[in-house]
This record gives sequence, C-alpha cells and structure tokens, in this order.
Amino acid sequence: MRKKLMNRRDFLKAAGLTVVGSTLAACGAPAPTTAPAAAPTSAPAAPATTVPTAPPAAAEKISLRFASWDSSSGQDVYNSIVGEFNKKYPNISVSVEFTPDNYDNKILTGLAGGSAPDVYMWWDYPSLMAKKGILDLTPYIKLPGDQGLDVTQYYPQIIDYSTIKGILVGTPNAFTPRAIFYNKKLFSAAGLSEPTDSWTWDDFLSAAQKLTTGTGTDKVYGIYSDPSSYWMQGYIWSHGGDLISADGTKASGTMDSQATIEAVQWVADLVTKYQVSPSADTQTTLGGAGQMFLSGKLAMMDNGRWPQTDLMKAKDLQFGLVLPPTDPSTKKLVSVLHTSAFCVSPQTKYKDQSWALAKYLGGPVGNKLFGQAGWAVPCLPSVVKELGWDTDPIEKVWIEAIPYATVMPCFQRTTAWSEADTEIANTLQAIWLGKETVEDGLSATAKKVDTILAQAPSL
Amino acid sequence: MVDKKNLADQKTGVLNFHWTMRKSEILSGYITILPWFIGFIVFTAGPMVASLYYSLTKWGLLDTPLFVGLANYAQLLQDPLVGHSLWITVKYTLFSVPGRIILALVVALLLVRPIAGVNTIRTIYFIPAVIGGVPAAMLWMWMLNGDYGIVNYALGLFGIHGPAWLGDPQTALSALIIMSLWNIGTPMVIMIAGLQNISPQLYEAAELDGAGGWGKFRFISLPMLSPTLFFILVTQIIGSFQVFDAAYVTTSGGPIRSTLFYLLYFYQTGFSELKMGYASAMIWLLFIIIITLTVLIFKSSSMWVFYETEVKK
Repeated sequence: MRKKLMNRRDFLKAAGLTVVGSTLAACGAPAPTTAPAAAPTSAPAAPATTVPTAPPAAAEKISLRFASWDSSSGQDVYNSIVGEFNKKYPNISVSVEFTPDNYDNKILTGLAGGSAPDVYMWWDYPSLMAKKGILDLTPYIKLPGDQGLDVTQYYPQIIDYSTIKGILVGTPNAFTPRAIFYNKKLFSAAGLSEPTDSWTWDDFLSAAQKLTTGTGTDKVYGIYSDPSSYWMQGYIWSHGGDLISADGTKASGTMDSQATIEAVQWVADLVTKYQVSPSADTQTTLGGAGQMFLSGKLAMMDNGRWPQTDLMKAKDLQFGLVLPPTDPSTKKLVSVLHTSAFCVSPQTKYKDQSWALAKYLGGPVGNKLFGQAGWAVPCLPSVVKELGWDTDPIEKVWIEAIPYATVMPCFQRTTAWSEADTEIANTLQAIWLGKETVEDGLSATAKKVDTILAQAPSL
Repeated sequence: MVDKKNLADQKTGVLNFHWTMRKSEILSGYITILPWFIGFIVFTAGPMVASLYYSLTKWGLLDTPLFVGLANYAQLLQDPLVGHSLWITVKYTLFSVPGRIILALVVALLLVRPIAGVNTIRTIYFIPAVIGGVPAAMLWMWMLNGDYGIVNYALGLFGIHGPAWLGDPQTALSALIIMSLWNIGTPMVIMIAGLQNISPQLYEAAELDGAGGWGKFRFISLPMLSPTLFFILVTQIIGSFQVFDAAYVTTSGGPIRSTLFYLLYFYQTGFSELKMGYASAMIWLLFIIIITLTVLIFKSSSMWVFYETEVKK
C-alpha cells in the first residue's frame, strides 16, 4: 500500500540534508585568517625581523603576486619587465593583477584579510604606513653589491618623494612633473608667439584670454583649471603659500594665509572671473583636459606626461611643451611631481624575492621599459640619457622641470591627508561654482583640517 | 494499577520520546527550511550581530577593534554630516516615492486595458528597471549635462535656459529625483496585477449606481488597490532610504555635498576613511529609522488599507 517512490516530503528532506551536509563540509575547511592583530609598535613600518638576503638563484618554485592600478592595456610592458626578471630568477613566477577601479580598497581589504599581493604600487605612503601596510625597505637597500639598491642613481627629488621619516617605502615608479602643453595652430591663429620658459602668470593669463573663442558647442577654452588640490600646490608654493604646515600638524596659518588665498584666487578666477577655463561640470562632460586638448577644444593644458603619447599619435595636432609660468611677484617657480612606488607587503611570505621583484620594477630595467612605452618619465638620469629624452625637444621639458620640485607635497607630511583633501576639494568645488569666496572658504576649511590633522594616526 | 502508557514510556528508555507521525512532520519541516535558515544565520543575522558589536568599537579594518562603548553613537548625534545626509535622503524620499507611485498608478491605469500592443508598451516601461542603476545613471549624466545634454536642448526649444543639473548644488538633488521617476517599471507591473484582480462586478455595480470614471476610480479602484499600494509604499520607502548607486556614479555626493545620501556618507566613512566602528553605528541608526517608519506605516494602515475579506464592524 505504501508508495515505494519518494514522495515530495521525503525529497525535500533529502535535499535539505544534502545542503546542510555540504555546507558543514565547506565550513570545515580552514577559514582565512581575520585581521592581523598587530599591536602598534614604535617603528613606523613593519621592520624586517630577519636579515635580508638575496634569494638563491636556483631554488624551489614560488609565485608572487603584483598589483598595479593600470588597466590591463599595459600588460605587454609589465610582461617584458617580468621577462627580464625571470632571466635572473627563473624559479619565481609573477602574476600581475590589474585593478583600475577601487585599487585602494583592494589592497586595504587584502591586508585586512591576509591576502594582499606581495608587491603593489602605492602613492599615499604615510596613510598606509600608519596601517602597517608597507615594509621598510631600508635594510634591503644596504645589501652589498647588486643585491642592494644604489639610490644615488636616481634623481634626488624622486628619492625625497619616496622617503618618509627616513624610510624608503618602495622602489620608484616612472614619474611625471607638470608642464604646459600648448596647441601651436591655435596660438598662431590668435596671433600669439609661442611661450618661452621665462613666461609669467600674467603672460599665461593674457594668452588664455586671447585663445578663448566661440560660444556654445564651438567654444574653445584657453586653459583648464580644475578644483583639485594636488596640481594647485605648485602655484600656491610659487606664490609663497602652502596648504598645511611643513610638519603636517595644522592648516591655520598656512591655508588661510594671504599668499595662499591670493594664489587660489588667481587659479579660481580663470574659471569664475575670466572664464578662460571650462567649469567643473563641463570638464566632466567633455572628458577632461586630455580629451579636450586632443579635440582642439583646449588651447593650453597644465598636465603631466600621461596624455602625451596619445597626443603624439594624433594627426593634425601640433603641440609644444613649456615649463609652467613663473609667479611675477615672487619671481619663483615651484613645481609638484606625481610619483608612485613599488612597495612590498609586510605580510608577504617571500620578503627577499619580493624585494628582488620590486628592484626590477622600480630599477633601471622597469623605468626604461616604462619610458620606452611612453607612460611616464624614467627616474634615473642614466636611463633618460639612454633614451635621448634629455635632448628631445619635447621630452627635455620634463627633465628641466624636475629641479623646480623643491617643496615636499602635503600628502607626505601627514597620515590623514586624504581626509583633509576631501574637505579641501569640497571648498574648491564651492569656490569654482562661485558659491563661496576664496577667503571664507579657505578660512573655514583651515579650521576643519586642523581637527583632522590633530586626530591623524601617528606613524 | 500500572498505567499502560507510563509503562510504555519507561520502556523507550532515555529518550522518553514517542516517534509519532506528527513529530515526524515537524522534523521534516525543520529540515526543509534548514538551508534557508543556515543562510539566514550566516549571511544576515550573524553579520547583523557582528555589526552591532563593531558599532561599539573603534576599528580601522587593519587593526584590532577597540571597545569604546556608545562613543560612536554619541558622535553620530554631533556629526553635522549625519544630519545633513539624513536630510538629503529624506528630501529625496519625500519627492521620489510619491512621485513614482503616482506616476506608476497613472501608467498602470492606462495600461490595464487590453488595447492593441499593450504588452509591448508595458515592456517598454519596464525596461528601466531591467537596465539597472549604474548604466542608467551614466545615461542620465550625459542627458542632463548643462552645456551639451539633450534635456537642456529640449528645454531650449521652449525658450527655457536649463540649469547645470548635476553640476549645480541647487539642482543636483532634483536631477537625481527626476532620474528616479524614470524607473517606475516594478511598481507599475505590481499595480497592473492589483488592478486586474479587482472584480468587474464591482465596477458594474458602481455603474448601475451612476458612478462616472472618477467615481469608479475613487470608490472602487483605489480602495481595492490599497493593499497593493500599502505594499509598494513600504517597499519603496525602505528602498528610497537606501539610495546609493546614482549618487555614487554621477556626483560622488557633490557638488558641495548636495547629493550626499546617508548610505553614500556611510560608504565613504567605512570604506574610504576606514572608520568601520563609526560606520557600523551609522548603519544601525539607519536601521532604527527605517524600522520606525515601517511600523508607523503599518499602524496607520488600518485607517486606509481595505482588505476585501474584511467585514465592516
């Protein structure tokens, strides 16, 4: 009488037990370790506890993970660097992970979960050092012979940018100073002679005014001035001001100083008063400075080397490069560099091998290949000479700009810079929209940044 | 006299348990829901408890959590951005939810009739719901651009000079609200189903009593639709308080924090500034707010929601 076949209830029971069983089996597998309980030590970065050595050339096969914020279109260049690396260390395989979006999150959550890559690019070193996320590479530099790293072979400004509280945080990645691209055709159409290295802010402004023509969709802008603080530092420093104090502990006294206010006013006026620069909204829609310059909608652009390779490929675009203008009142030009470095994770199981990889990426080999690919400027004078950049009419402007980087940027001076910068960006946006005066905005923000800097975690 | 039943109990020994069919059914039931229950504990209840714990700590993700008691909650009350972002979220909800419900109702009323091609038209109205938040936001970002967008071009044909929309702090929130009104697919489909469930006899009876179009709507459609409207209102409010995608993609909370929704501020605090403890407290505050609102709506429902099976008291 009883049905032999499984009825619905039995089926559901069996299914339920199967799911439960497999879940328990999966949970039985070792779970990844949770956040490392790192008691704050007095050393700023995780010190190397073992004596660093060069990894043995022929050893067991290991694999390293390297993270880059470039997009995977850069695969070929990284592959050639890894190829060079493998010539000396054939037993180490390197997997390159590209994360163009949310890169910071990936590294931070990786460190929290114990699954961070072995080597990764980074730029805001103090904040990561405060979280014990960067291995102190100083002991490795001092290794004898070619196992160590001769830092004198780099531009001294680059080493300064990569050294926090006396600690080298990573091997330097190809970098870029800032310079002014200008469209030669638009200059001659406006009857202007091309700018020279000795031009001033006044020359810059009057050229921009003559170059800004048209209305609506035909409008061509003279300059691009966007409400972000990093590039503005150069202009602020040239005028004798600064955003935060040299020791990074407060902003009042510097951010709200007359010099800073005047400098920011000058840069903001380009958008609000003279209207020679697109508004922030238009900047976003038209795809940014590089895109606008490429399509002939922008006559001059203060930028780094990144867009140059694309500009060189564009037909019909004749551009020149010149140093940023000098401040006529102080007669000074101070410039800012954009740098990054290849850092080693303090949690890596293969410290020596990771150091070897970082050396290739950030050493002469890597810098030369990045330079050849046209990504950025190599950090070594010897490589620059080898590639002929010191004589090339365009590239030499980048090299000439380097000595003007005499002030250490704000992010280096405090571990809380990104939070402070959020407040600064907010004020700059308001100023760019004409909703706030420079004086009011900077004074109010200086007080907020004071609080942020006071609460910054110590290194 | 020895009770036979008791003797039987003693005989079964330690378990003292009668395996009856009733108990077998109960056990089947529990086993059947066990997968869901485990999922609930692991992915919902467990993390909620953990988050409640973290809200009482100071935790930077890369260090160990430090117990600070209710300090995070005290800070919540003093943080001007908490009040600011809550107000932005409330403003958004006040305009977006009624706007969407009314728009969905109008469209549903028009599309509930079996006119030619009605299924195609319903699908077209439903497409925004399928596209998803991020592509829709990018699309609207282009359409709403102050200088080059198609919206301002269209306004220009009528002689109106459109604002900078997402680039102007005074209109950015309105721009996001307008964007949300475009996506009425889900409530519309639910309302169509609700309308179709209303018995035609009620409409016939109303017509016999001399009711016109508006009368039929007011005395038949609306009351009979009220359970559906109730459900949509509750779910829309819960969803609207959690709005995130559009602001994250288009404005990042700007310009000048005019579109800093509460969940966006939470994301920045927790994942950009790595203040996990404080962010956990923020999330629990949101939870309390949403739960309170939901309870209030439920309590008010007895006044305006009419279930067909109810009997007049």
